[in-house]
Amino acid sequence: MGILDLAGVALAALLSENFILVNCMGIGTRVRSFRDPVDALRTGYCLTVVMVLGALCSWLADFLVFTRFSWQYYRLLFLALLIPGLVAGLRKFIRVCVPELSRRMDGNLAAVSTNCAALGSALLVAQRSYSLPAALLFSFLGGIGATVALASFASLREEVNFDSCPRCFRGTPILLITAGLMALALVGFYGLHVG
Amino acid sequence: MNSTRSLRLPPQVGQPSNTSAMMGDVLVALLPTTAMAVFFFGFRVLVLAAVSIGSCLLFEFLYRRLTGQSDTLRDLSACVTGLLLALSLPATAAYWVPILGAAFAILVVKQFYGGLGKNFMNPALAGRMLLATFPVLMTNWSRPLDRLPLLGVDAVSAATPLSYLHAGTLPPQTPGQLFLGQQGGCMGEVSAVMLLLGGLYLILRRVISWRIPTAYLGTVALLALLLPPEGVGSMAWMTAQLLSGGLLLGAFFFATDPTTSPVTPRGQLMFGAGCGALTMLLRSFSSYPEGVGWAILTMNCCVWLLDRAGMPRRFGAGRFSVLREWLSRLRRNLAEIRFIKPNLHFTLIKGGKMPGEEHLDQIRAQAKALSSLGAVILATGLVIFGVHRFTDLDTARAETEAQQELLSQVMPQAAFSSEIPYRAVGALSIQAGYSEDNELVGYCVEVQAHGFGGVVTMEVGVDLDGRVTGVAVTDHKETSGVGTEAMTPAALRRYVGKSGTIRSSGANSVDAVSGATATSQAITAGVNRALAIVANLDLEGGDVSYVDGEV
Repeated sequence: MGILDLAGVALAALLSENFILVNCMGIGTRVRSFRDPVDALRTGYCLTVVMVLGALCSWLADFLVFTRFSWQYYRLLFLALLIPGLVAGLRKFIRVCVPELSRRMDGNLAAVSTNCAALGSALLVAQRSYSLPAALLFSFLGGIGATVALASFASLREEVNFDSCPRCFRGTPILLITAGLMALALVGFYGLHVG
Repeated sequence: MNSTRSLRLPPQVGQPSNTSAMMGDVLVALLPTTAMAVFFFGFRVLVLAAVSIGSCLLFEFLYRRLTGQSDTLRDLSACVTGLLLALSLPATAAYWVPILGAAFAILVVKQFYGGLGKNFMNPALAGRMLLATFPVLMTNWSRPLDRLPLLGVDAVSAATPLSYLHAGTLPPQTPGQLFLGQQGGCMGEVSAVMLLLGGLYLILRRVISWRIPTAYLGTVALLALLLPPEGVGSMAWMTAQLLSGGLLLGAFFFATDPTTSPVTPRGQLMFGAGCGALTMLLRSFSSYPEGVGWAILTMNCCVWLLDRAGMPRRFGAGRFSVLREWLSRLRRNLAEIRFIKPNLHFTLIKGGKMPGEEHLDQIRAQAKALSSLGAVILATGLVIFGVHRFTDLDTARAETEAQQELLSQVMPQAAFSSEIPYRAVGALSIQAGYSEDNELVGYCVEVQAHGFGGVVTMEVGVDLDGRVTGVAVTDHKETSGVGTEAMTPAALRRYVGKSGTIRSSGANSVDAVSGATATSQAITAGVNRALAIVANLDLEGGDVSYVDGEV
């Protein structure tokens, strides 16, 4: 796999398959992250770490076990156990070893365990049979893309007044419309193909 | 106002001082472009512009009236939105198209967020790009000087210079033609000279700052100059990139919208550079030939970030003092996070070490929790295994049937097929097709090509004379109802009997299905690749013949 292919995978993860805005895998992200930029950044960092670790584990399991014995039908069960287990292990480790970090990020990390993007990236990596560098790059840049999308969405709330729309649109509807407008901007990146 | 102005020394140049004067200036700057569009495409342009402006004004008026807010028609911003929206449409657009765009632009993008000055995305551009997601609407480009009738447009569709640039070749138009506007495209984007005239007028009147267009066009020019495709001169490539498509319209009129562009000077430069880089990225690698609109919309979402990054330095502060302060604060903040060496002791039981009542109780609780988890996992695993075993045979049978059906579609004269022990670059698999009496009839090659939404996988049957016997698309991500038009049995049957290299026009050609050009090109490329693979396979000689006896 050449540099160009890797760049294509990277750009796809960052833009044309943005986990939050395009692939609709923002489900399970906690509501506060859409409001508070700091919380959005923390969730984004946790998500990125979990996604990279998840992709690594998923790739290893797929390469060493599942494809070798053609047990692909166990993949979903394994991933559904892997991601919460990974998050639980990380939380335990951080609580014991880096208590200050745990004080700041524990809530975000706990919320990531049911995040769609973390599960989805591990599954996509296995389904598309990426090579190891491509898998790591895909999950890392996917996490970065999700972080940027979350943070820019959260900071839009400080810039834009969401209360001047008709009353029936106030609250969640106008937020969904805003997310839709941001996703409209990314439609142009659909089918981005490098090389 | 007048008193302060009279104190200045002459010569005095009037400068727009309120919103309606600014918007009026934008309208004046768009006049030459509109006139040129009328010259190229006929009076239909005027009617489309009138419909667009009228519907923008109507929607704005109705919304403000129905929600009981003050009337804002007099600031002319709705007129500017309407005219820009109309100018960024193809002249062949139906009359309902600008109305739909105006409704989206005025109601959703602008007024839902509080009206002029409070929206975060350019309304006219968002309306235009929403319409661009209806692919058939926006692919019918008429030729310039092909004046269109007011009703019942049936124009000859022409390739725009951008589709040539997208394919990595120079457009057939000379730079002079591109400069004057004798090219296919949207109504307002064809004439570069008129757009430059309007843009210069706006800059001289200080309605827009020079930074965004300069940074935008400069980035595009630099990237085009540095990275021309093979076999094309870099100067010619740069000129073509700058003069074709909506670049000038976008750089002067869409990217400089004061509401949706940064206010800090450095932020403006970064905004322009970002737009330029994204435009070149999209023009080279995306499925759409044009990327200006998408690039500006994407950068519109980042304006707050650029404004913060481009904040001017406080007077008297050192060069990097803000950055240094921020870094030291970050360092102090991160220094609180310390790694503490854990005091590890691997004991499951925290109570007494001696076996006793407490000990047993603890073990029992833990064992209960763990065993229920284990039982659930085991049960799920068993169920998955059982279901898989049950459906496995059916899956295999269905697969064989699907393969047989595929074979009958791709190579009707063959009765069965088998994989050959031969690999070729670009082929996912090669199967040899055999007739009833075990005679080799041809090869079925599975190939991939890049279409509009992603990879298109297809199976191409080629007989021993090197002619296509059939094409079947096995997997794709094209838009349903648009890209799939190129995959109907009738469309695929046109390839049967072709040989050599199939082109998109002229002799030995298969025309692209209208509205699904990218998909058609992908299928043609795939068929060509399969034909080349089979031709080279035959050249390799008889190392395939021994399979014949095996089967």
